[in-house]
Amino acid sequence: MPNMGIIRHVLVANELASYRESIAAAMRFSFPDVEVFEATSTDLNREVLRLRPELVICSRVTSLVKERVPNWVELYPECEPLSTFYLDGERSVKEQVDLSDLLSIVDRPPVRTA
Amino acid sequence: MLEFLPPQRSPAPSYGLRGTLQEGCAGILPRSTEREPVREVQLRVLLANEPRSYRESIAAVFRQLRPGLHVKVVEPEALESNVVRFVPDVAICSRVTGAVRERVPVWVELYPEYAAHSVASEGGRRTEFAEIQLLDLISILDRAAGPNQGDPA
Repeated sequence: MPNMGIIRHVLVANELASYRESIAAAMRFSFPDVEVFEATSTDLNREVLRLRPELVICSRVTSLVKERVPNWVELYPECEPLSTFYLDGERSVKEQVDLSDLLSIVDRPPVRTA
Repeated sequence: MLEFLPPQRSPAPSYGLRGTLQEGCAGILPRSTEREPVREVQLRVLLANEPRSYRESIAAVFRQLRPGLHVKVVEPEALESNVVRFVPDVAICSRVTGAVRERVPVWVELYPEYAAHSVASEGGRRTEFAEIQLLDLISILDRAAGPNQGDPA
């Protein structure tokens, strides 16, 4: 299991370019110390291997993301309103995700492990 | 990187800016050299595209990069009523309506039916985008604001 802790690298790979770019930009403005990368869905797995992000936001989560990334959000898969959050081992589903829901993932305190 | 967007100084056309006049605010319009109250026209931008987090993200970027804009975010169902009440200069929505076409000088139909293509209308001139970029949206705002407007403060 990857490390649970502070998020320093975020990979934004959801579909539709301007949406991906705007989420990435909002994250950069909000968290200037966090490295925010962008990738298309096609490049998602390759960039996960290369960048080892602690958080991935994507439109369709892949097996590799599930295996390697401690925190991920499957945002509006197939353009459906329900999104799935997987944060340090806990899965939840949310309808009508706000930008603050995404920003709060980076902002939350790290999980303490024994 | 969006941080490196150049200041907008090209003599781009303006499309009937209808914003409110305010006095004493740091300028979108160039300051007068005389001792008159500074008058400023604020571009009014209405965001009503689906889904919510994307709408909010775009608004956050607009506010950060173009702090002189008056940006309003509403649910898509509230688009038409806000076209009447808010009187936007620019509307961005997922499905353009008759009221938007008739009343808003600049509009963007962003990813209708979640397809990648988008359509923009600037003073009646339509542009189709195979996959519009955030930079395209910023450029549309800057053109709507006209010359010397839209600069970060």
